[in-house]
Order: sequence, then C-alpha cells, then structure tokens
Amino acid sequence: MARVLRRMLRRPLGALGLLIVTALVVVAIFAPQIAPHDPTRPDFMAILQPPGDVYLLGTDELGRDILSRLIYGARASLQAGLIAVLLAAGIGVPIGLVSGYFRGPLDEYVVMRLTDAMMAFPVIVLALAMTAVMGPSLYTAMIAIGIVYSPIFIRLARAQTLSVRETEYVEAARALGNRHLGIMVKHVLPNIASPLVIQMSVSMATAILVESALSFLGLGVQPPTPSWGSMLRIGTNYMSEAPLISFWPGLAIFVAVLGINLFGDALRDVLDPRNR
Amino acid sequence: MMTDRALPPSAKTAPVLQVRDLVTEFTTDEGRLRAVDGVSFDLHAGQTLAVVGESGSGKSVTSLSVMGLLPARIGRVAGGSIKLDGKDLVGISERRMQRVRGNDIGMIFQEPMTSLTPVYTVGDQIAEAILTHRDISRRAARARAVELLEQVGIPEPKLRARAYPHQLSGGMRQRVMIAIALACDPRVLIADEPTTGLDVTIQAQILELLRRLQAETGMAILFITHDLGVVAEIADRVLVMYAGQMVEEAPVEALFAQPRMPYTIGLLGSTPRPGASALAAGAAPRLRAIPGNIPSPRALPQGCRFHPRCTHMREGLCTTAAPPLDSAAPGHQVRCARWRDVATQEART
Repeated sequence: MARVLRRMLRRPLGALGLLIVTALVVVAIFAPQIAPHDPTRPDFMAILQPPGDVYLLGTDELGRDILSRLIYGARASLQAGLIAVLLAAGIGVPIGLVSGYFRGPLDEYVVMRLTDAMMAFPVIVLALAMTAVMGPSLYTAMIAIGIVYSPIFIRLARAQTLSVRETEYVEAARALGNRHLGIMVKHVLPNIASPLVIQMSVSMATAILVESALSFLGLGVQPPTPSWGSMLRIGTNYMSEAPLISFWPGLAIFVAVLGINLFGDALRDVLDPRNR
Repeated sequence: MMTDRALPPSAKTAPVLQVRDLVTEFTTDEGRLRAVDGVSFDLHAGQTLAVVGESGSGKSVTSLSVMGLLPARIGRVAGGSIKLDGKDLVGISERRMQRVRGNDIGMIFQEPMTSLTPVYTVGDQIAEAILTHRDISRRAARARAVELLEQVGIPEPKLRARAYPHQLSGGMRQRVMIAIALACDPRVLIADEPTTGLDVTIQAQILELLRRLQAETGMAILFITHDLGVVAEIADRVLVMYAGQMVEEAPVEALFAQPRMPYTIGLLGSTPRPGASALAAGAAPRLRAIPGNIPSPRALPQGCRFHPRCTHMREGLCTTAAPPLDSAAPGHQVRCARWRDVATQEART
C-alpha cells in the first residue's frame, strides 16, 4: 500500500489527482470542523454578498455562506458518486464476468439484449424516471444512478472477460484442475481489473455530474441540505446580479471530476504489474 | 539397443494411459466435424510417445480430449475410451475431471509467453498449483515452489520466485510452466509443442530438462509436435496423424529408418537433415515438399485420405476403399493399402 502511494506520487498528474481526492475526502469528513458558518442558517442582513471578510466566497439569495455550503455539499457529491459507482460495479461486474465466461444463449439473448435496452435510454432520463417513481432524495438518486450505470460495467466486464477467457493462461489454469469460480476470481478478475478501475473513476466523475443534474432539477438532495448541483441551479436565477453563486459550485464540480479522473488513471498505471 | 528403447521394461506392465478408438467431434454451423477419428495408443510409465502431424491433423485435439478441455458445447468425445490407470475418463463429471487435471495429468502449452497469468509472481503461481490439489500450508507450498524452480534448472530460485512472468525470458517461462505442470507429481505429462517459438539452443535445453525429469520421476510424456527433429531427440514411440486418423505408429528408430506410410516418408523428406558429407560436397539433398494441403474435415476425400497428395496413389485402389491399419512389423502399424509396394520402390531409389 505504501509502495503504491509512493509510486503514485512519483507521477506529477497522479500526485495532483491524489491531492485533490484526499482534499475532497478530508473536507467531506471534517465539514463541521472546517466550515466557518452553519450552511443552512440564513443571514438576511447579507443577501447576495460578493466575496468578503466575513463570508469568504460571498452569500446566496438567503444570505447563507457559500463556502460553508460548498464544504457540506462535498459530502452529498462524494457520497453520491462513490455509492452509485460501487452499486453499479457491484451489479455489473459479477454479471458481466459470469456472462462472458460461460457465454451461451443466456449471455447472448438475455443479458446483452437487456443491457442494450437500458443503454438505449439517455442516462439522465432513466435516472429521472426512477427518482420520480421512488421519490426525490439523495439516496434514491444514488440508487438510480447506480442502476443506470450498471450496464456499462456489465458490458465492459463481459468484453474484457471474453478476451481473457481465450488466453493461454486461463486454459493453463483449467489444465491445472482449477474450478470455474476459482478461475474467474483468481485469474480473470485481476486481469480485467485495470479497465474496470478506469471505468469506475470515469463513472464516479460523471455520477457526480448526474447527481448535480438531478439536484439541479430538484430530484436529488432536498433543501435546505446543500449540494453542488442544487447550488448551481439556484445560482442561475441570479446570474446577472451575482454570477459567482453559480461559478463556485461549478468550479467545485470541475475540480472534483478532474481530480478523480487523474486519480483513476494513475491508479491503473500503478496497479498494473506490467508497468513495474 | 533398439529394442531396449522401443520397449522399456515397464512396457510389460499395464499402461498408465490407454486410449482406444478415440473419436472427437465438433458441432459447427455446417454440421458435425470429426477432428479425431479412431485414434488408439498406449502410454507406459517412463515412456515418451510423440504425436506428429501437420496443423489440422488432430494432434492437439487428441490431447485436449484426454484433458477434457474441449470447447464447451461445441466439442465432445463421441466415441472410444481414455483410460487412466484403467479408469475411463470419458463421460466422468467435470468435478471429478478437475481432480485429474494438474494432479494425475499435467500439461504444458505451446506459448510460454502467454501461459502464465501476468498479475501474479511465478512463485505464487506454482504454489497455487500445489494448493489446488494438496492440503498443505501456504508456507509449505511456497517452499516447495522454490524447490521446483531449482529442479527445473532456474538459477537463484528464491529470487526468481518473486519475479513476474514478464520479467523472465521465454525459456525461463517454459521452465516455470514445467515446474507448474510437475507441481503435483503427475503420472502423465502432456506437452503440446512446448519448444515451438523458442530459440534452438533453448529448445535443446528444454528437451534435455524433460528427459532428465522423466528419468527422475518416471512420468509418461505425451509429446505433441510437428518437428521431426524434436521427435528424434525425445520420443520412444511415434504416432503420425493425418486428417484426424493415425496413419503410422512405430518405435522411433523404425520410423526414421523404415517409414512405411507415404505421408511419413514425405514428412521426413521435407525435413532438413544436414549430413556432414553432403554439406562438405556442397550438395545437400533438395527438400521435397509434400504438394497440396491437409484436407478440411468438411470435405474428406473418398478412400485413403492422403491419396490426392500421394505420389504412390493408384486409381481405383486408393481412391475407393479406406485402408485399414496394417501391421508392417511387430509394434509397427501403417495405414496404407500399398505399403509393401511403396517399401520396395523407396528401397530402389
């Protein structure tokens, strides 16, 4: 673990990604200690303030501190991204792995056609429909994103498994008397892990965007709890008077997505033994 | 001398592996194809049987049939028996077959570059092979892995055990593969073209290693190859396959001295054998290629399967009736209707 970290820090972009991700996690965990103000308490004497001494990044339309709201908003965004991706990979990877390993009509006509059907819908529309059914909240948003993203992982895991199952080392593992489950877990999974890790980091970044979009549409995090997406939405109403209200959460989303992508890229490079 | 090598003392005992009338079929879109059609052989402890043939002759399918590793749903053993120590392996459950693979029968493959999982160290992979079949501690398995690496002639085995496959050369990887195949002391080792793709000097080292390990452990080796030079090096007996059938089987000396089947004669004629005198005279004999290609199992010729390519073909005889296996000498079988005529003709030239 220490070795992985050290090698990651040796890459400039990897170090940057690691820095951003660590900062995000720290901020999310210690939000109550870090935030200078209560993110939900309005200050009606200071509405739509520009950045200043008391409110470092200014205030929103109810006089709430934008910096504190950004800090608390990291919680919603990171949670949404992480849990949604873990759910998506948790559903998708086992299905894709088993389906690709055994092939057959179940793989061809059931699993693949179902994922086709799911992928035919735009992600946002499907997630919208699900949150509409389950009722808007951060958790339904996470579950919806997780389910909507699972076909990507089914596809990717299956496609990678298809190529790995034909390799000589899988045949050699069979010739050694290993069981199918053992081969899948010990020989196929580690060899398809790096594209999956990349996909997870990319998906986590876009999941944060989708969560922001859902919150933007009022289907994610409910007020007064802050999230980057809902902050962005409210800010659009005051675009002409106080454009910075939208700018800050937009910047936060941008930096978080960038950081997670850089982190994922570096993680892939470091974990692959061929690059050692 | 010759009889010693052809019939080792163990030949009198029961064979370790006995294959009888093996038929392997593949179901494809164009119907059923017979990749192996009636192959029989005995493999005794301490003995090496080489299976020789061109690509598509069915030699690899024969070895996969023995291992029960035919592609699922497409390939199946349609007839015959494969007996290991008298117990038939055809039709037993996958679970029981898993206990045979790697344990009773080890296998090494053609591609040492890709037969090792890239994400584990070679020491781990050998230990894993042991732990699959033996109930010992991980620590003991790792110690045994280092022993095995030493046994297959890898210098600094302790250090090498921690190497990843890509850090080793092709010859080293094939040694690791052999170590894995030997991890559970199998009675039979199937080697499917283990030296193809290696440098000639490395090839010789690997063959020497296999010979040494066979002498130490008394395992039987089924050696699949298309390289007759390798056959001469390692085999006790040779089985020549053509288009899914065995066309000649003989002790190695008899096969090289008096090949009976025109196909075998053609194979030997297309292999360079630099004799010192011929080289000195600057007139090494021209290689004689066998014209044409091996027939597709979809369109097998009538009569003898080799007749379209055979220089001894006689219309009406070879083109109509499929020749049976005939005994040319004790322990020497040949599938050719005209082998006696061929023998006299070849003797004249």
